Amino acid sequence: MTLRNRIALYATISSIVALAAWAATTWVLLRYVETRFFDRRVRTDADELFRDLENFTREPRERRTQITERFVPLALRDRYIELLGAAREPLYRSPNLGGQALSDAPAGFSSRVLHGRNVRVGVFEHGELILYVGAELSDVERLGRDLAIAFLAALPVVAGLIAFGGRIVGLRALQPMVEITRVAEQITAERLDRRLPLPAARDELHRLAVALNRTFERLERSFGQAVRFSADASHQLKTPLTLLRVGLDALLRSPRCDSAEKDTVNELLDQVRRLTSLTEDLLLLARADAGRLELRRARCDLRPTFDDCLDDARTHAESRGIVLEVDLPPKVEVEADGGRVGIILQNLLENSVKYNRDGGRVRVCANVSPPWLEATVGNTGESIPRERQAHIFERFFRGQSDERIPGTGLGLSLAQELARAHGGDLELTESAADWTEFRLRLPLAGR
Amino acid sequence: MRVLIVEDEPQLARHLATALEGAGHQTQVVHDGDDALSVALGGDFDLLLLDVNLPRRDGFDVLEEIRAAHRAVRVIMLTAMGEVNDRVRGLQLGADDYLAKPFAMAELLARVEAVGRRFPVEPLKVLHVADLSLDVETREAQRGSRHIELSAREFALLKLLMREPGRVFSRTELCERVWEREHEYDTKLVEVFIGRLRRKIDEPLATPLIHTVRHAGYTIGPPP
Repeated sequence: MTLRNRIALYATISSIVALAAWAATTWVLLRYVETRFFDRRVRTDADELFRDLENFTREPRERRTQITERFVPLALRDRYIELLGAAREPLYRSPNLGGQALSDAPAGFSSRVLHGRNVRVGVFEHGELILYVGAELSDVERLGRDLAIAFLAALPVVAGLIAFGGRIVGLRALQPMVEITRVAEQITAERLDRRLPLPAARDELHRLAVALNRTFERLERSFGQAVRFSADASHQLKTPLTLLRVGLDALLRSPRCDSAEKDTVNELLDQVRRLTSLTEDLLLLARADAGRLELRRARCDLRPTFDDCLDDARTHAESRGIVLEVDLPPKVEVEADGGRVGIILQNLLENSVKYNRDGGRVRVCANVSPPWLEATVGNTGESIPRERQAHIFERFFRGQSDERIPGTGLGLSLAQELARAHGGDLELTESAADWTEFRLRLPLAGR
Repeated sequence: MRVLIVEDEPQLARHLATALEGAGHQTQVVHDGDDALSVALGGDFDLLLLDVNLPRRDGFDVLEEIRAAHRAVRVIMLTAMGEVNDRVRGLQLGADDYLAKPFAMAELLARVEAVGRRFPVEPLKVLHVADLSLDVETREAQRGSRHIELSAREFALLKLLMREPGRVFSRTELCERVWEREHEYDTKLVEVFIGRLRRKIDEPLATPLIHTVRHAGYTIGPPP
């Protein structure tokens, strides 16, 4: 559920609860007030009856026979009436009582059920006479019922209005958030210079936008530095390397340079080449970090690349009695930058020979498993301890036994970055006692 | 040829000048983009050796201006290696060739020669050295009447040697041009592959074509 809808829902629920409580309280209070009011009417009725009785009883002596229904005014004929004398002897009972007595009611006002109806009974004394007047509560009850119905009918309408209002309020309150999110989503590696719009009100969202903008600024700065590093370093490092290269070349051709010196110059040239290659790898990694690894993707067949790398690996494998087992289809078509994938394959195959035991085995396979091409390179090298497995793709990480094996520790790291830049991946899938296997995934070429 | 060298690194510019003059060209050196543009437009040069990274005005900009002025001067861009975009952009803007730094001087001189020819020579489809022939398209090699099978690497190496018979290639240059990327067993790789080529091409015969020049490298050619 969206935040906006949640806000509307919470507002509605809490409003309904509050409204219900208000309605219940109002209902109870009204009911109380109405009953009081009703009591006063009963008292008025009693006073009227007493007045009538006074008029009635002035002359006659024999009350029992003389007090009849005639003394009850017409307006009060629907009341339940019982009159007791000084000795609590019944002097009159209204016919609607149907033989039932009211005289057991407590002093003051009380409610009871008479003939299945709720009746309010008041007890009044006048001289020696005690008068019990009962009146049906039906009016009060009807009012209560009507009120309850009105409340219940109003509640869903009001709840609906609040839900609607809550949504509008949520929408308005979250509008700056929506805007912030929309812009934040557009801020990518290529467009880090964009900033979030600041809401006009200096509220919580304003602070959030300011804080995020500050973060983006830091990000842009460090990203910019990384990108500049990759660009500057390529220029700064390559010029001296070119100079070295050209100078050594000239020295090699110079007649003044004797044979022993030429051997040294050749070795230095090899080192320049190594340094160039290392620079190249570092720059590729720097670019990968900056998200600016350029790939020239095209549909390409990796089989020749595999063959070249295998050809190179074989030169070294043969002298150590390592057997290369190759299980590759005649065409290995992927959507990739062939040159970059060559780097991955070269690294994997070079490692599989380098870290192998003498007389060991290397196995290279490729399977199509849409949407991937899965290439596996396994070798009979020492197993990589579990705690080191997580680190083998880190830069400059080298295994324990690696001191005697040449390498920079950048190869696997770079290979993985390149695989990921293609949308694929490079993983260590197995490292058992005598078998270590890597799996490379690359997107297959589209049909 | 009259060559204008545009390179901000003075030492490298000097090396380039020396090498080009040694090969019989006339040179002039400038160190920034503005100078490059005014000198190139003011003088009569056959070839511009143009670095990409220049102070004041970069190489692409210079190239664009020169092409806008309809100068028919030939241009070789010197790019930092691995900058794929640089190469593509340079060629799109009308450069005739590019060379990635660091480069071998021999390679540079060869490129200068190639670009300098007024009518580009169609690259040969079949290369010949004595009785050895190599078909560049079908990748078939033949010595005398004997057919020779070559792997891709062996083919690339042999093609490189046979394009310039008699030139001595240093191990490093062979590595660079056949393998592109450095291998941890680089020098060994060259030796092994040269060994393989020898076994396939020379071994049964009395006249070897592939020669080791001690302390310098390898070359191909009829026996001296």
